[in-house]
Amino acid sequence: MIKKLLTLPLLILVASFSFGQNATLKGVVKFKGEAPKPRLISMKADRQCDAMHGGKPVTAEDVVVNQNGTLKWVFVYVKEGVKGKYSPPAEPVVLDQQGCLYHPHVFGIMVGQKLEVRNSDPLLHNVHSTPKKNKPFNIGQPVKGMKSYYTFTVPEVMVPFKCDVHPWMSAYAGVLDHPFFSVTDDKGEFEIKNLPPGTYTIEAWHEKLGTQTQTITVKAGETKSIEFTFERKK
Amino acid sequence: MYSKNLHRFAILTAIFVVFLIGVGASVTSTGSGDAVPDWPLSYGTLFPRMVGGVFYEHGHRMVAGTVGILIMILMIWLLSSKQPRYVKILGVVAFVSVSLQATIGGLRVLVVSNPKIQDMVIGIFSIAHVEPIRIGIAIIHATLAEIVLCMTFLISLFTSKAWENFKAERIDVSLKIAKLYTLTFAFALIQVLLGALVRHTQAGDVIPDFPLSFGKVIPPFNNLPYESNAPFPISYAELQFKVAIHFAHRVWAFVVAGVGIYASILVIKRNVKLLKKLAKVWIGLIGVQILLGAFVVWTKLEVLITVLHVATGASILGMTLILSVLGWRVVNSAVAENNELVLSNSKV
Repeated sequence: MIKKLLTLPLLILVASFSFGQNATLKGVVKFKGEAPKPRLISMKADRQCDAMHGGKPVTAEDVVVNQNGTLKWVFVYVKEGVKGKYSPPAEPVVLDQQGCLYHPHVFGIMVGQKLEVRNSDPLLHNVHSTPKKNKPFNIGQPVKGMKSYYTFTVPEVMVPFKCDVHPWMSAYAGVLDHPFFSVTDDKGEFEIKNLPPGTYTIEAWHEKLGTQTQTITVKAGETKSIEFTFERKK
Repeated sequence: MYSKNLHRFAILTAIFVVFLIGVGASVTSTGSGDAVPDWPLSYGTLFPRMVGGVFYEHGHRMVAGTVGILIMILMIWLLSSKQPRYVKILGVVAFVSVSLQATIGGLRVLVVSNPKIQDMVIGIFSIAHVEPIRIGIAIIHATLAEIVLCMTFLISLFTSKAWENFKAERIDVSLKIAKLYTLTFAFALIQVLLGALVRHTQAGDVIPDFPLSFGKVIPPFNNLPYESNAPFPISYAELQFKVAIHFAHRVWAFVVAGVGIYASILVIKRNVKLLKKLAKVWIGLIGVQILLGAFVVWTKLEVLITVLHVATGASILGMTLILSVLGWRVVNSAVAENNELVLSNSKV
């Protein structure tokens, strides 16, 4: 009994110590050059979608340059160097269809983790995933509130999603067998926590601007900052 | 036995088939092939909300259904008519083909959306991913559509008055014309297959310029603009394959046009009225088709232009078959006339 009582705090101590020894990778993805004008989406093909936005123009999320000159929706992940096996979280990743758009537009998910696809719109959507390594699927969700579930079996960067009913709808998932990924936000920032010490290849992926890689080395407990810069192709 | 109404109905059916091929092309061009994940119903109903991609995909299904009904009526009409046996058989084959075509269309949808069918197909072909099968089914679907079109064009010809009253000409030239048009038809069929391959492997815009290819007469296969850090990179070999089939489609167009125009010029020089008219139309269509092909590239696959390009291609294939069959009819009637002449001479 005393042995058990001693073992538990010791385990917690060891776990927190090793957790604390892991590094954090922070960074920003910048956009070089003149920011392109936001592309406007016409939802006239489905008047119900158009009405949901009150006839106001909706901007596409393919190239979003933030006000501080950084890029949103860049998937940043550890491409090479991860050792060991990581179990997927129990909670699912949610991909919601709302206002005839996917939310979020870019996301990461682990192999074996549940993907929950919801239809929050009062109209029909189809959810068509076109991976090259995983099995493709195409689910009809004609009714509001419908939920479908899917699990990816192999890592794949990136898996596209589209709604063939509303061709402007697109989303991308980075499927990995580890949890070291992040997506840039409204400030172009990303953060990857709990990275064990080591040397890694970090890749930044953008749906229009392509990919960039950097090799970094992180030490125990270190917080490392890196920067990617994308520019428009001529 | 000529029946005006039957002939008109056959022409109507053939026109609907051309229209259906155009509608089918619009489904591919707008990327709407999977907008309705179930089959034979659409979202569990006969008439879903016709919006966005559903408009194209379900519209295609409705037009296809109409064509199926038209071909069924045509078959029944032919079977109950006094048409020759071969025309009746052709009617039955056309109906069986259009039914098979509908099933293949359904399979193309379900191979993506139905996990059981997907697993079954992967198991049968022992492959890792269903994509090559999906493309294969799409190409078969596109090609069988052209074969159905050829059958309806032939039925239109065989039920016409002109087919009954066809006159013979000089046998030597006629034989040459018949052979040339048969060759043109075979070449046009290959061209249709190449076109389907280009469309369904997304190789339509892989060569961005026309008439040159990457600024050269022959694409620089070992020095193609390749982006290894593209968002969805393909291998260099895949890029070369796409450029190769796109380029083959361009070159082959001129081969089809060359042989067909030569045959048509020979026809125009002769005095076979119907053939002469059709040959002139053929030359006009091939000119339009090459121009449309150029515009497909220049407009970066604009939907309407692409649809017109596919529909015109189908019409050319059907017309080439008619010209070929008529060519052989001329030869046969010339042979028959020759034999009669020999017989009457020997009696004298």
